[in-house]
Amino acid sequence: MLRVQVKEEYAAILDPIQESVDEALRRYAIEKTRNRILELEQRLQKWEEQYGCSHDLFAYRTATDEGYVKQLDADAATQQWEGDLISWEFDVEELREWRRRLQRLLTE
Amino acid sequence: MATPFTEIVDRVVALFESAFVHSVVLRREERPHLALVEMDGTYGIYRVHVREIWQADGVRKYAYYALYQSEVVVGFDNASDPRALCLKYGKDYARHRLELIPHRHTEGKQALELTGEVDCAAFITWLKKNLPPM
Repeated sequence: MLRVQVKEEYAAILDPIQESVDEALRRYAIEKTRNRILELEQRLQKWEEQYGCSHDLFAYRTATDEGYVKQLDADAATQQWEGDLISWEFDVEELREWRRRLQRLLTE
Repeated sequence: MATPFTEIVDRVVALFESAFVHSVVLRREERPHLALVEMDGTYGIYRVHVREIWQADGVRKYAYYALYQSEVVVGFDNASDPRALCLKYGKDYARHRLELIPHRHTEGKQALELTGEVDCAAFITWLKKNLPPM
């Protein structure tokens, strides 16, 4: 548990203070989490637009379809697909984690 | 906040910065179960771009490239590339499609050969030995 200081003018309005601070922080955490989820969804959308498919399909195709991989390698714009796959995978994991956090906050 | 990966990532960043000029950490993110770093630098006439991810279960995925005018001159990675899988396992490679296969791409990604596991230090050593900065 962390200790925080609250200005007296706020404390007077927010009585009972502990419940009010908890609720305010919960709302703020939900807002921050939603913003982060939105940011990650936009990032994933960019990957999907660049490669024309979802992460799972891309991971599957790049591990099984030699023709597809040759096609990616032939274009300078997609030659670093292995690196993109790494970043994309991280973003997918991040999104999962932030959605879990939001779920926890909403059900508290 | 420090994570189990902080020291490892610090080391890789320091190594990269000492080897290349105009080094930039484009992205560094660490979580308790996962860490990612993406860096860019200059090596003579080449641009060097690396991405690496570490997982809590010990898995490490990497992609190290030297580029000349946006084209890959050499690339080391351990993606489950079907050509690398085929070199390692032959026709039955699809059964191993989830395995990480360390390999190297030659200029323009025209050819590929299997390698051992490569890290940032090994990549730098390989570059200095095989690709004069000019």
